[in-house]
Amino acid sequence: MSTLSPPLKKNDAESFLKELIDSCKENGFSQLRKTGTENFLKAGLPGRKEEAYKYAPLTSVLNNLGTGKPQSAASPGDALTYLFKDFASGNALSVFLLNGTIIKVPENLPKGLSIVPLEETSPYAKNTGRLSTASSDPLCQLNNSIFSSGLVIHIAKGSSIEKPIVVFNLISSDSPALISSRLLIVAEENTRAGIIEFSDTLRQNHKILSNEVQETFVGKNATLFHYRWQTDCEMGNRINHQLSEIGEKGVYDTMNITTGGTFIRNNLSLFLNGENIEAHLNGFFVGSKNRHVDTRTVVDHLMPRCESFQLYKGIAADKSTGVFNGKIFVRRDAQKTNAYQSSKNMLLGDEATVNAKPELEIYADDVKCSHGSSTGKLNEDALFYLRSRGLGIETARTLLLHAFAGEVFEKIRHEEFKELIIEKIRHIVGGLNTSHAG
Amino acid sequence: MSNMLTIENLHAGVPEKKIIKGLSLTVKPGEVHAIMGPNGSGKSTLSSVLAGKEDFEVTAGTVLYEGKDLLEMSPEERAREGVFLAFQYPVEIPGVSNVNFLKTALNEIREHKGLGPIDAAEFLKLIKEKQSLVELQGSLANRSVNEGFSGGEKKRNEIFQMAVLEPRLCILDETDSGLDIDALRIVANGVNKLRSKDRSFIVITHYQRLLDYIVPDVVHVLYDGKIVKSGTKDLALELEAKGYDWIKKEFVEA
Repeated sequence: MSTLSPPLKKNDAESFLKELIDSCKENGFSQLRKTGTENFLKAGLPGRKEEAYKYAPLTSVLNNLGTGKPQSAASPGDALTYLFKDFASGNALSVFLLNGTIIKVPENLPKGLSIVPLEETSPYAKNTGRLSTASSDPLCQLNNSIFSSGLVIHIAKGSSIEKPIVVFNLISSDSPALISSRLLIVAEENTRAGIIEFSDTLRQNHKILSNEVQETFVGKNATLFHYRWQTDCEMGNRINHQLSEIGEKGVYDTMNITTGGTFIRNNLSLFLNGENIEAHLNGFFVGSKNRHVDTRTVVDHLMPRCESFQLYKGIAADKSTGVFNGKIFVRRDAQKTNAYQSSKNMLLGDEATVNAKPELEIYADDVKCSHGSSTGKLNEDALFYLRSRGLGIETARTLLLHAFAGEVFEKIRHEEFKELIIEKIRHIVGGLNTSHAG
Repeated sequence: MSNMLTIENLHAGVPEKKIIKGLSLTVKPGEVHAIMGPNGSGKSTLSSVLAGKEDFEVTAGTVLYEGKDLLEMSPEERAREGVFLAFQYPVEIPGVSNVNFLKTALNEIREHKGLGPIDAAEFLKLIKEKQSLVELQGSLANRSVNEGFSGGEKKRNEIFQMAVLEPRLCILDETDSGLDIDALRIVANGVNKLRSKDRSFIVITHYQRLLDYIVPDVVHVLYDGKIVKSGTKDLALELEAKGYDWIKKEFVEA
């Protein structure tokens, strides 16, 4: 069995890929795989010199991941972690994925909704690779080349899906593994739907990397929300390439919440390919121990009169690191664009770091764009104010951290999920080590 | 009658600078003490030291509150024991609801007294009643702590919190600063309604104006970190008429 260990020589990479490609041939998509393989071999694994992975300790994550297929005895029952147990039993359409493969879907799906495995012969699969092939990220190309499983969520023209589609995106393996899976979301014209994705790596003793591609197409007049919450265990590492294309008058609302894992990378690319689009991109992370949470957004305003709003916040404790890299393109035709981006971070302790880098590239002249970034510590005056009214120092800190996070969660348009996350985050931030804070 | 607060020979300041230089003060239950003084005399430092702000260091002296060593207590312990500071500049805290925060504070204080958490309906009744005391609109109570409040609303919110938490020693740090005459009257009325034989006030102010409304039992003049003169409310009128230069001159000559 070959292993993937940077620095990677071309011959090693080729033999590594060949083994994997051979093992997933039956899934089809030969053209996509071929392009992916070529592009990946051309680019190689990104190193520290690559601007896009400058802050990411990718080498240690990729080291010694085998080509062996993940073997797991986990069942859907094990998969229901304590966090989501109550939520899953609620009013939702729950889909369970294990390493990207469907293990359970609801029996009676509402009219207009299809949830099927990603297969080349499927009529729903025709957009597969349309966005990911053009990606400049070598790891996205690696997924194009070797992905072994996938899911399609398809919402037929004119359908409104009332209940949220809850995707349990679970990762598990009995040996160190690289897992490559895909999610294709197609919301056709005049649809309304919402997806809530819980990503979790089940507790285990060896390193796992899930390198995922999610392609989303939101049609004309369609409204889609997609909220993702990652709670992976310490052995879990996840790179998610979330590529979305929105059509005229479409509304797309996405949020990435990270409270687990060791290496987490969220690459979001959003193409606003129609007029009068409204896009919301939000995120929140909690860093503790050695967690690295890296968020990279590219919002591409291609057409006039579109709006995009981004709010990314994070709390970094211990030796954790956070990265926010946000880029907004406003193309020549995209007049009357309204684009807003904000990144706010809080450091607890002297060993935590956050790097935030907002970038704007504007080629149109009649636009409204703004961005801001701040990284600070807990407000000592506010802390004293709360304590002077009788609140204990831990209670006061938790209250302030929770309030800091709350600004992001206020934007969630699904009440039950909003309540769940607000309640869980209170416990998570309450458990952070703030002893070096101040 | 035992003392509510006994400050003896207090010295305090920041690492580079001594600000309070041998201050002594005794406050009995039910008394209202006004502390006046020119800018930089140490008025706000005194209130911060009493509330437990860690930016200030006490280098000498003692402070006994109801017979206990106040300086040994954390800010929250002081609050739970019944000390309340109405801030000169109340802090805006986005995302923390005024009412929820106050409920948490009240329950911490109740727990300290050995009482259980307040019942939701009872709490609602309590805040309605106390809001009317300072004519604070219900919508303000439900917003984030002090966020977007006008200067007057912030000060009224301080007195509202004081009314809910029912402390025994209230320190008002320049509560009159930035208030117009109507807001000043509302705030002062609120304070007057809270006066009782068991509750003491230290009213720190720059101007005599506030003392027309909150009539003090004793007036002290703070200058260069010490109380240099004490008297009745007439002392405040005298200061208003003559200005602080008179005190400075007298103090320097003495």
